[in-house]
Amino acid sequence: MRIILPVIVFVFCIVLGHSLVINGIPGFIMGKAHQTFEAQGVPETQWVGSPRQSPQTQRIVRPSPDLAYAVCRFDTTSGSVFISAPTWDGYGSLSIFNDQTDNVFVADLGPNSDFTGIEVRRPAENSVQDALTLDGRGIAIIRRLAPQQDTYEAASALVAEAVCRSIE
Amino acid sequence: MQMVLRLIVAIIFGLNLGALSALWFGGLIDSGPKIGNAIDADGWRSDWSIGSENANPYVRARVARNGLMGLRKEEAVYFIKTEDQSGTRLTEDCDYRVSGGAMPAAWWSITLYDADNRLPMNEDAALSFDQTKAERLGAGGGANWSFMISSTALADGADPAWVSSRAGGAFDLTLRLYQPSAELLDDPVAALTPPIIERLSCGEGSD
Repeated sequence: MRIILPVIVFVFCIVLGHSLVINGIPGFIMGKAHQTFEAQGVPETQWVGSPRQSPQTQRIVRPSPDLAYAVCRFDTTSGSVFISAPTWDGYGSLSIFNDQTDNVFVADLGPNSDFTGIEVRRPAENSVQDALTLDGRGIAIIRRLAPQQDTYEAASALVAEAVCRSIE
Repeated sequence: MQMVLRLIVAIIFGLNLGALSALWFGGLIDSGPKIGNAIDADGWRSDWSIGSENANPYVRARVARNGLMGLRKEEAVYFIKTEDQSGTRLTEDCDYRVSGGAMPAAWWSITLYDADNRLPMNEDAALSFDQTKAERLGAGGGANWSFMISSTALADGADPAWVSSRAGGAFDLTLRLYQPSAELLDDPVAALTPPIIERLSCGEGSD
């Protein structure tokens, strides 16, 4: 008993510590991403275009230099949010990530898309059909294929037409 | 009293060992174990659970660390390769030819990243090769394409068939396939003809 009990406690604590940390990493890193975007001047419920990705401008791991990015941070604890972005001629997508890094929504922004927008609501408020349920903080990202400077500028010009706003 | 001390030591060491092992598995200490090996197409490795709510905690942690905000498989899939055809680690000390053909997706690109998951810190403006460049070079309609990887420009800095490995160290290549075909999602090994990475030559002192 003098040895068995400490060994059982030791093994239990290994499993407990391992489980707590491995499950906490995504939330921790997503929280850091929010802090980083905030420090870079990305306010909540507003689309902000990223500079063209290069070694000198990269701010996230493994950025694609062929894409034009725009980011919107939001938090449904402050109320529901409406998110949309215009389609265009090339490849494009609007994706939403929850605070566990899960890609919970993707819309095609290509020329054949009929995407007009998505409401993001807290679970308790989600009585609207076709609304996305998301509890807490989220990040929406627009990706548009823009491998050349001229297509990057065209994609950047569309950021002003995208919507990320709280719903009263 | 001795039992209490033993229990305290067991708790402290147990929690710390568990936490450290989780950080290693999550890739926050050293590079951790390999993950994303669920799919292996001639050394191009991927995991369809990336971006999914069904991803296990280890995949989720490694993706958060190494590829935050990756899209789920219906929108884009990612394959990473760290070795050439002979199984030797890719390095900026060597020159390579990468070749392939049509890809089962709406658009594709191959990008070079350093060991820190960053674009290599150079100013060569030659970071990736993609379907648009392949088509510009005459590889439309699924024709074969190829490009070179080296730490110095082969012709001039604007050569679209060159990707710079300068300052890349021990690098890897990421193949992105946007809007992949249903066949690729069903049976990736059968549907994907993976790009071939041939090592051409190496600098002095390297293999």
